[in-house]
Amino acid sequence: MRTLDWIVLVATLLSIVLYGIYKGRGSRNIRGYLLADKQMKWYTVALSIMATQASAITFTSTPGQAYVDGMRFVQFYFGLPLAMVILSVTAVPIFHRLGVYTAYEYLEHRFDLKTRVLTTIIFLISRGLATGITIYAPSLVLSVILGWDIRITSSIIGIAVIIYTVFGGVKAVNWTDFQQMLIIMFGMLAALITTISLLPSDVSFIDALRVGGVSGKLNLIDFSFDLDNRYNFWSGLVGGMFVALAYFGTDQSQVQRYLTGQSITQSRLGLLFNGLAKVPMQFFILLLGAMVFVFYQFERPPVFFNPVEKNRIESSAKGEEFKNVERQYATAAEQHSFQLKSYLETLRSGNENAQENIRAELREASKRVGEIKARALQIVKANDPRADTNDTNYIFLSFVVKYLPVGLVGLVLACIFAASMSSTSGELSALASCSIVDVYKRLIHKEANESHYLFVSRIAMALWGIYGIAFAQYASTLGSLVEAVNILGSLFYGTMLGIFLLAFYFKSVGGTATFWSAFVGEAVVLCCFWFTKISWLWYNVVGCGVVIGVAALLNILTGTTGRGESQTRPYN
Amino acid sequence: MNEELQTQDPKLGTSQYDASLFFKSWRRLYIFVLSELALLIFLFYVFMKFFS
Repeated sequence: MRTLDWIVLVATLLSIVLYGIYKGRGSRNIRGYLLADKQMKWYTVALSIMATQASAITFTSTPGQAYVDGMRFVQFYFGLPLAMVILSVTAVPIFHRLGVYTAYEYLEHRFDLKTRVLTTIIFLISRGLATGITIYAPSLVLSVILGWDIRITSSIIGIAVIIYTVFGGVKAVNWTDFQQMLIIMFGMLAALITTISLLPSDVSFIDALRVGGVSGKLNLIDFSFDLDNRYNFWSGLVGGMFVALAYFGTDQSQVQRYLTGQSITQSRLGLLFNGLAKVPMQFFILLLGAMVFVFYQFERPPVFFNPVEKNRIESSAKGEEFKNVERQYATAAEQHSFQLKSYLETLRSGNENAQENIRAELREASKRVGEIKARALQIVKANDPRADTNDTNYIFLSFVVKYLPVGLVGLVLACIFAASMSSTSGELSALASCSIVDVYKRLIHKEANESHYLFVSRIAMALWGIYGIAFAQYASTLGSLVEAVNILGSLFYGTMLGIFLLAFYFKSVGGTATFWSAFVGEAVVLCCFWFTKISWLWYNVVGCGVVIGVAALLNILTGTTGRGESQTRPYN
Repeated sequence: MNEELQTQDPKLGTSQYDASLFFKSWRRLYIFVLSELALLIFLFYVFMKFFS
């Protein structure tokens, strides 16, 4: 990090905080503080939705994912535009018409209090844990790459977010999301263009794509149907749609973004813009990763990208063995690079027979490179069984720090911080909304004036922020539990979605049937998780289907009706 | 149903004139979003086949 990088990084972070404070001023009640007075235009809603969804890990690990696994991850987003259309037709008009503060408030109107409380608890637990991860994961990566203490990186992200969210509420969150998304788009585009320009002078962009293609990194579409295969066209379209429906339709951190829209039109346009822009955006981020891969085909890559683990193994008893493998890797990578240049030559000459021969040689060479890398990782693991041998998260940032020009390093790091702040702020405001509207105001202190609720909303926002920082400080001691927490979040989405689909489409189903079917649905999802190898993308389909099926059955057996039940309930 | 919801409640700040800012009806906008997805999938497929 040079002086100019520091200036860019600090200036960007300061501008975000100051802009948030400036735009968030003037909230006099909780409608202003938690719903931004419903004054947001579609473009603010749209970029706020995108910024909340795109966490820092999206920008650190997605290029690394393309480097390791190719661009097939883009298929995961194919279901998203479908979900945006469905939610625009169903959820948006219903939530707007009822004027709710949270998605779970609607469930009391539609079903009963116990269903509202159940979904609120699920949200507070799963999103509360995820908020800690949202701060912890990028803090860890940044601390490893920059050599900073993780307490510094997590505190920078957490404190900056707390300052403007506590002060300005959702208005500050939405406007800073808007600003952060623009910074992120500009930074990632600059990184893509610069990466392409860093390729050797005799390798054009088309050549780079050919190298990516022959190396299997442009594997964008896979039409084969396989339940165990995490990313293919079908899991992306169907499973991805259910994930997106659950996330955007039932998770308050997203629902709150479009509840701030000035009208149904503005909220719908915000969601639909996300549907239009998300797939191309992910494509370009993955393309950036593929270009980093191509860059390293002509510039010797490290055998292992995690600098902390690498230093540890080099200074251990197995250090010499690791260095030997590292030398073999360098030789194999050099040969591979030479063959790639020959391949490009044959493509230019149009000699098809030679192309086929070199392709076969290339496959052999890359297999050899992969085998040597696997041997290096085995040594790391043998030295310390707890060592993290997955270096996907470190590939892009180590490339940024080592090769990008001065100024751009600061900008890309600012993008990572901005992405983390935008997700964290959205989550904090959603957690605070549910804590106050669904718990405090509904169950604890029903009658109080606006200034009291505004005050406790600010307190809730600050407390959730402090909790997030504290979680990030101590998460490293949790080890594999962090991964478990991530999986935990995905286990609840199917059940939540099932409850909301029952609310939207199954008018005869009542609260009691829905409440108990949620437990059955959750049990089935947990069985899938423990006893099958089904990709987690399908858990949402399973959970949702079971909740709807069991609720419909219970409804028939008990003979209750949803409308009658809900009309007798008090509505907050 | 949802188109009706928009026009029934004037407090929502919507009217038949702002069904969509860019298209004549919501249905056309939805078709546009889904068509873009179909086009992208087609282009990705062509892109993948061309360079591999």
